[in-house]
Amino acid sequence: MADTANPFDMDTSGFDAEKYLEKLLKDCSLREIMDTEAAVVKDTQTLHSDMQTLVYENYNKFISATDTIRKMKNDFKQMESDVNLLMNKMQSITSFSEQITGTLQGTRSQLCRLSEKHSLLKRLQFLSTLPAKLKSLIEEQNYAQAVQDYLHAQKVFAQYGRQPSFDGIKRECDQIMGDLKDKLRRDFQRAGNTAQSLTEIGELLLQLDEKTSDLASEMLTCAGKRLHEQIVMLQDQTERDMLEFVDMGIDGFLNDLALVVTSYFDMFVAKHYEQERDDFQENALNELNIFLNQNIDKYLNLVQDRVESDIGYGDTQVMLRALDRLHRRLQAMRNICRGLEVQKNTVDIIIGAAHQLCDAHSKNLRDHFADSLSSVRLSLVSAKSDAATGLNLSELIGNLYVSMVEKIKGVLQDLLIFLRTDWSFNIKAEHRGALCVEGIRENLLIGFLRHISKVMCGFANASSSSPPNLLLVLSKTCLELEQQGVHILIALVDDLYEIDSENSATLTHETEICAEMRETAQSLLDAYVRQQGTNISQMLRKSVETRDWLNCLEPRSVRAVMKRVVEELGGIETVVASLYESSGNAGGFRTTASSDSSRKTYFSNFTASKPQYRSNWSNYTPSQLESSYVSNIHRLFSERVDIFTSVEFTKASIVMGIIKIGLKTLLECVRLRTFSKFGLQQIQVDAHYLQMNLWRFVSDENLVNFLLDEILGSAVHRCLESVLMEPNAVEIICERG
Amino acid sequence: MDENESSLIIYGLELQARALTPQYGEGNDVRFFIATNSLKPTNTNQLHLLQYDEEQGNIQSKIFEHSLGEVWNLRSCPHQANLLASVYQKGAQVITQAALLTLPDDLGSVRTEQLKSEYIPWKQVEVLDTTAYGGRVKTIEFHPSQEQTLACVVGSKVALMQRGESSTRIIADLVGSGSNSKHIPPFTTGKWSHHHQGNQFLTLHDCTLSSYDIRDTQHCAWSISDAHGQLVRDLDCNPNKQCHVMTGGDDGYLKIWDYRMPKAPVFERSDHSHWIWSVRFNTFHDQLLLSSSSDCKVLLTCAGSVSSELHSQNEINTEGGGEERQRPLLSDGLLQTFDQHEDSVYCAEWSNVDPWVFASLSYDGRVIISKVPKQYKYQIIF
Repeated sequence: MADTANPFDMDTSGFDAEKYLEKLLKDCSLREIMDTEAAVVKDTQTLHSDMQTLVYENYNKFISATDTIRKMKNDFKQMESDVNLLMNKMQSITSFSEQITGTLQGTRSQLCRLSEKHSLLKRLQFLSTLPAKLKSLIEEQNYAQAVQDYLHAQKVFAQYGRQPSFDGIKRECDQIMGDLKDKLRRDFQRAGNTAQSLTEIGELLLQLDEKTSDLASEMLTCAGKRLHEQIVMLQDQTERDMLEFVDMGIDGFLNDLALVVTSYFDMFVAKHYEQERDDFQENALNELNIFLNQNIDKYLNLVQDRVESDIGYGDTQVMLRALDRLHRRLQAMRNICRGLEVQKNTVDIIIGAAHQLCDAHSKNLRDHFADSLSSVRLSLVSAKSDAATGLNLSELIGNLYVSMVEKIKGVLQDLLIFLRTDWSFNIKAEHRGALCVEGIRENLLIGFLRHISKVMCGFANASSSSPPNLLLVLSKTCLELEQQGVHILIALVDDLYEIDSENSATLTHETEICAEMRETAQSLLDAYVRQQGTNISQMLRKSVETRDWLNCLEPRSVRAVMKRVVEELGGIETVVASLYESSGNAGGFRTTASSDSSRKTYFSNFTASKPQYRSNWSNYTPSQLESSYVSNIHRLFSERVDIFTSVEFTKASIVMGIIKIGLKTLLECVRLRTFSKFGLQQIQVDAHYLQMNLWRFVSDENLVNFLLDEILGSAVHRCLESVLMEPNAVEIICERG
Repeated sequence: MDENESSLIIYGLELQARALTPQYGEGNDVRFFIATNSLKPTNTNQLHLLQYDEEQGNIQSKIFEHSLGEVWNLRSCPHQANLLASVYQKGAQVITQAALLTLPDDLGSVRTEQLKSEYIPWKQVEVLDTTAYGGRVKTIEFHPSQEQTLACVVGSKVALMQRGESSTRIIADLVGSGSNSKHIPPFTTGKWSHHHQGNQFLTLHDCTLSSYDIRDTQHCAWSISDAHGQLVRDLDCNPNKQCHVMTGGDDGYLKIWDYRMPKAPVFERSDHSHWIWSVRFNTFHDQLLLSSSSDCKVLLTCAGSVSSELHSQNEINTEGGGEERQRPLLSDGLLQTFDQHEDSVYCAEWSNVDPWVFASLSYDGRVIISKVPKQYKYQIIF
């Protein structure tokens, strides 16, 4: 610091006057030096006066300090004499006090003895009045106080029990308390006690040194009796609804049970008893556990019975609310009874209820299905009017289908109540519950769909003689289910119950059911075709079998049975057309819905464009006809036609199936007969008539022509004199009708 | 499949045919008789004896002339190899009659070249006198055990004939005395029951299957009415199991009945799509059923659940205890469809010699000899 001190600054300690002067002289002009001198002089004067002021002020202060010190000196002298005086007085007080203590010593020990005697006397008085007091307390039924007093006295007796005077009192007291104990025990055992009083009495008896283990088991049996009464009472409450029933159970039974259990726990399990064996507590806990589970089981069984008898009849929601309440209560109880396990669970009951409801619903569905089937059947049988049948059928299908689907939907919604989120239980959380939910899908829905398919399949059996239209209706219904219903329903159930069926190995896949449905629809349709074909067959067979073909006249007209057959087929076609639009042959040969005008043109075209039909046989001379080669050669050139194939779900295919069966029958019948010339010509006329009329119904008339060819061919074979009619004449006869 | 195809043997006739029967009296060779059914006077109806040689895989035939008329039905005698009965319709007279035909004794030595005509002559032709019962003979059935006894189903009657004697006896007549015969359908066919010491004869008429006891006249032992929805075409008895009868009908159903339970069949299939014309139990393995139909198909069906083998196997199982190995039984149902025919198949018959061979005949004159597919054969044997 010193190094850096500026030698030219006058205010610092390193100021060097010589240097400063030198610098001043060197740097400054005269005037400046003069100014500087004046300034320095002025500064010096100012500093000087300042110093003078300071000295003056401090001087005053020193004077006043000196005065103060002198005054203090005087005060201390006076204080010293006061303190000496005080010392003397304290000494005299001490001596006085010692004197007093010495005098009082004897009196105090006497007082002590007196007060002890007083309390002893008081106790003696208590003892002597104790029997009377106990009696009055017992009479007042203030057992708790009596026991309290007795226990109090007990201690005294323990102390002074040897003295004969006390002995009398003690005996009396013991006797009274013995009576009381008996009375209490009787009360304890009496069945009508509430759990509350039971607990109280238990506590008292315990205080009266009752044997703990006996008391413990007795308490449980008594409580058990009481609870059993409650159960019996609950059993009779059949008129009450579920909610009331459960509330009663909770208020009465469960509360009592909880009380018994908690007091038992406090009385026997939580405390330690010297006089009992070491494992007493453990045993007591065990017994309590068994007792608790027994009773809960009993009660829950009751509830379960109740649920089982109620489910499906009452309101499910009410029941579930009741069960929910019960579940909460039990949950709470489980929390209270720590260390105890309640094995049986309300969730099990709920799951059981769900299962049962499923079954009930499933049965309902089946009943409903059976009902609607029989109503469909009835309406089919009763409504015979052919004109109206068309509309009727699709209506019936609609009704059957819609009612079925709606019913299932309703049931699914109904069951959803089990999964409501505001319940305290969660079914899906448990494995069994999850299984149950899947059961709704598998057993209820899939099972029902399978049932439908099976029942419907039953109709396809020939042994069940169901009206053909019923088969048609059922087949169509199955088809609708396959195309829509199954998907909708399965999607619905998966959605509602959050089931992931796509990735599950155990769950039935939608396509399986669809395939089943389709199969059923197919077999029903086949049965329909078979049945209608059989009907047509029957007509044709009877007509061929009963006629005398050897001795008939030259044909003048088409036989009536052929017209009947065509009419019948027309009827079938209109019915089928009402259900199956001619969509199947969009890419086919020709739409079957050709109008009347096109029919005419078709007919002329037909006769021109299909000449080979007539020519097949009419070109041959009788001698050629005799040869069987003709038929075989003819067969060689016509491609093999598979006559019997499964029917498709189109109008043309269905009607064709029926026609095929009919024509085949005609063929077989013809082969069994022998014909005269005119008989053969009659067949020729009939075949032509059929050809004229059957094209309307089918998409591929080649097949019809092939079969008619075969029929005529066989007739030629079976004819003794094979002369066919002029084709023109045949046509004229046929057109005449 | 190739293997199956190759086991097919086809034999063609020039004329239509509806009659086929195995030669029951023959014990070594697989032989079938077939006969043609042609009305035309220009065609000569023939009867062929086919012998199937499995080694060479071919058919040798001997041809006989059936000059009596078109053959509707053939039956061979189980006791006498060279005897057979034919039911025929004679030319313009539209009545069917029956004749017993006897083959020459030493068929093997007869050589076609040595003969003047192309046909082998008959040793004996005996026309049965059935005119008394009407002109519609359906079938002649040889009694399974009594050589001399024949049953003749004719019209609505069944007549019992003793060969060598001229005595005939009516054992069943649908038309009671006096009632009008017009509206009652005649018998379709008939067959001897293999059981009951040959005292029962089964008949079919319309939808009804009934059995007559031959010891008495008009004694119907039992009957199943409405066995089928429509006419019952054919029947066969299970040779190994009493009380089981198979029927096939116009409703396309094949049913097996236990006639102690006439309410419902014990087995039922509807695999055919048209009339069933013939049904046959395999005599060796009676779970194998053969049926032919006018849908041009011959079907091989398994009815293991009602066969006699199932029964005997169960017995073995109970006796043999655990050492009996579990054999995978053929499941019931359709085993195989044979659709090589192009016309209605009116007859299909098992060979009486080889349990795995059968012949079928379609109207166009095609005979096909086929075998049970190997996989089924092995399943049954092992």
